[in-house]
Amino acid sequence: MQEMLITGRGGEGVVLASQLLADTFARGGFYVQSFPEFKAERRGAPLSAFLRWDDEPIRRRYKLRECDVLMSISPSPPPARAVATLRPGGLLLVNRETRFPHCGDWHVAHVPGSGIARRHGILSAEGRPMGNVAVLGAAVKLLLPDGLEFLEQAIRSRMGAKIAEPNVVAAQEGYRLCARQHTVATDSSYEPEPAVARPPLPVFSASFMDTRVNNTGSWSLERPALLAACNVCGLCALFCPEGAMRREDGTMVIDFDHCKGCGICEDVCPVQNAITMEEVLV
Amino acid sequence: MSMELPQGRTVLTGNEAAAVAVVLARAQQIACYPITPQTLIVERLADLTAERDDIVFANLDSEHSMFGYALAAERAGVRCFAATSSQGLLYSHEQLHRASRERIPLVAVNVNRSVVAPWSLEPDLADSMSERDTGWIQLYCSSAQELLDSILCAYRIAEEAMLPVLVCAEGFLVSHTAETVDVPSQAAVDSFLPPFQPPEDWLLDPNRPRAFSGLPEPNDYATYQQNVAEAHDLARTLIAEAASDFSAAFGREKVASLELSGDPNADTAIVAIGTIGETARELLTDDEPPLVVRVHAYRPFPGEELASVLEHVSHVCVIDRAPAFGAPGPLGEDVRAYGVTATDVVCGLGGSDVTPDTLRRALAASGREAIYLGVEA
Ligand code: SF4
Ligand code: SF4
Repeated sequence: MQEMLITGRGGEGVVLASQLLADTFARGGFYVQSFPEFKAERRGAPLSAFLRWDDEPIRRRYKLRECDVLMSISPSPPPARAVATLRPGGLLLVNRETRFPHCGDWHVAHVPGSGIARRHGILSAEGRPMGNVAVLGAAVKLLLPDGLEFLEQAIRSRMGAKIAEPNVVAAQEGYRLCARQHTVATDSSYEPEPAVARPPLPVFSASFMDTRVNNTGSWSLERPALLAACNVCGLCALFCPEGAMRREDGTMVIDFDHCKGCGICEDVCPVQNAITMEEVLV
Repeated sequence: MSMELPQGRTVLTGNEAAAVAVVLARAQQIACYPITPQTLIVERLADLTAERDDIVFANLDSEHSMFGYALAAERAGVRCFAATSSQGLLYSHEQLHRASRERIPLVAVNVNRSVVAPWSLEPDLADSMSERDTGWIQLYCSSAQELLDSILCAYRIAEEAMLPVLVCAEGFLVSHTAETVDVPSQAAVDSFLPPFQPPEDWLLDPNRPRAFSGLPEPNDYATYQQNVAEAHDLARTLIAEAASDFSAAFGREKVASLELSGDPNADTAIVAIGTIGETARELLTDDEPPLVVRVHAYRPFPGEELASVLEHVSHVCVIDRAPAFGAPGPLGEDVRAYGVTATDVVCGLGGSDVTPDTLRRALAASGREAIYLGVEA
């Protein structure tokens, strides 16, 4: 049995990627099992999905603790705790052109997934490139080299005709542009994150944290920026669901610790060139 | 968006497999109210039944109304379906009692999710186990395939016994897990599952007006309850018949009440329900493998059958994925009620992971009171 962990952020198509790949392996004659790790679902929050494939029906029903393959859908590097689950000799596939800065007892491959997506206009509702399917092309190249056709079939059966075609092209390009990384002298060796001790659980369920410092702003993929034409009418502040905007000393002030990047402020603003949404760089 | 029914071997999540089964079973009224992790069942049913004027898809204003609506529609002779989870099932509690005592053969899916507090979307069986005495037949499934197959069997069992069936499957572990599923053809399902033909004196018929469930004399009330109990006894046989007919018709094994794996003469046994019963099979390659007994039909409880399977086993470990504070867990209590000496271990609550190691630790424990197994780091 092979086990794979897929990491990314809410809205990047992590769960869809795991299902497409499950479908691909199933078409290739394997038994498959794919499931997402669910936290509260929200765009931008880190999330992962699991995939198992085998010649035999799969009976085990628990989360992955270790994996043979780690695939990162995000353009940002995979989180350290995910890398720590990779078995010795395993494969790490990242969605970026640059070298993965660390090396360990595993193989690294990369594919410019986001770049491919951008080229073919495969964008999220917010206009970010959706590199998930291009990364799948690379995964198929590395794990099921005769399976590109199965991936194309899976894409066509699970996506509407309009988005399926550019995604099929992205998958083919991912398949072609996937490259293995070879270790060079300057690579630092991979250091796992030290475990953080948690305080003991109280008897009654209550958060450890004072909720006033619950900085939900860390979920944002985008954030508003005020522009010259803003006349400080305050309408956006009335509509902001997080109460993250206020008028102060004749200007609008945005509380980025709590702004979740929904874009409602931009939507409701009646003035041209007063406010725009910008990408948060991760 | 309208969607075609998948055919043959394909990849589906548990929720999708449930939706496919409901359409294959030709349910004509689908009563809905969304709740995580069940929501995808009704979403898929909406896709699959869009543009079909032979199926009524009804969005209700709560789970309580949803069951009320489905029970009334069944009474008019229409095959119905409903689905819920967790608080939604608990909120419907009084409707559940009414369903079985009115002998309404509704099939509903409960995607198991733990109950508040604290809030969790993750699975355990506290929701449906809390409803075990409402008179519903309860089947627990551990894969998308078993969920699909069990819904088809459930309609047959329900309509033969005139009892409601709750088909249960753990949230996420089954509901959101995409896996290999064989979807039978409509023709094969039609020959396995005849159309719904309830007894005439039960049916709501404007040409034969009757008052149902009025205020009977105490002795008559007691007799009606006894009838429900007898229907459950009959259901044991119906479950076995449905499973063997299903296996013959579709060419794949359908579990009846219990699934046994491993050596029947083993010295130790694990009795589990749902996905834990699947994971337990990983212990079969251990040095001293236990007999693994997975309970599929929980109500009516296959107690006699279980007692005879466990007769010569010296150490029986029952795994409960639901608490019953102040007493052994529900499954543990039921197993002991049939004279089996067993240790009852409660684990997997709120979706906490149950691995082969968890089960090895459970096997090493023993005691009279329920043992709440701590979670591994
Ligand atoms: S951003 Fe727009 S809505 Fe907000 S204060 Fe400025 S002009 Fe008004
Ligand atoms: S993006 Fe949303 S949360 Fe942030 S300031 Fe605008 S309205 Fe408020």
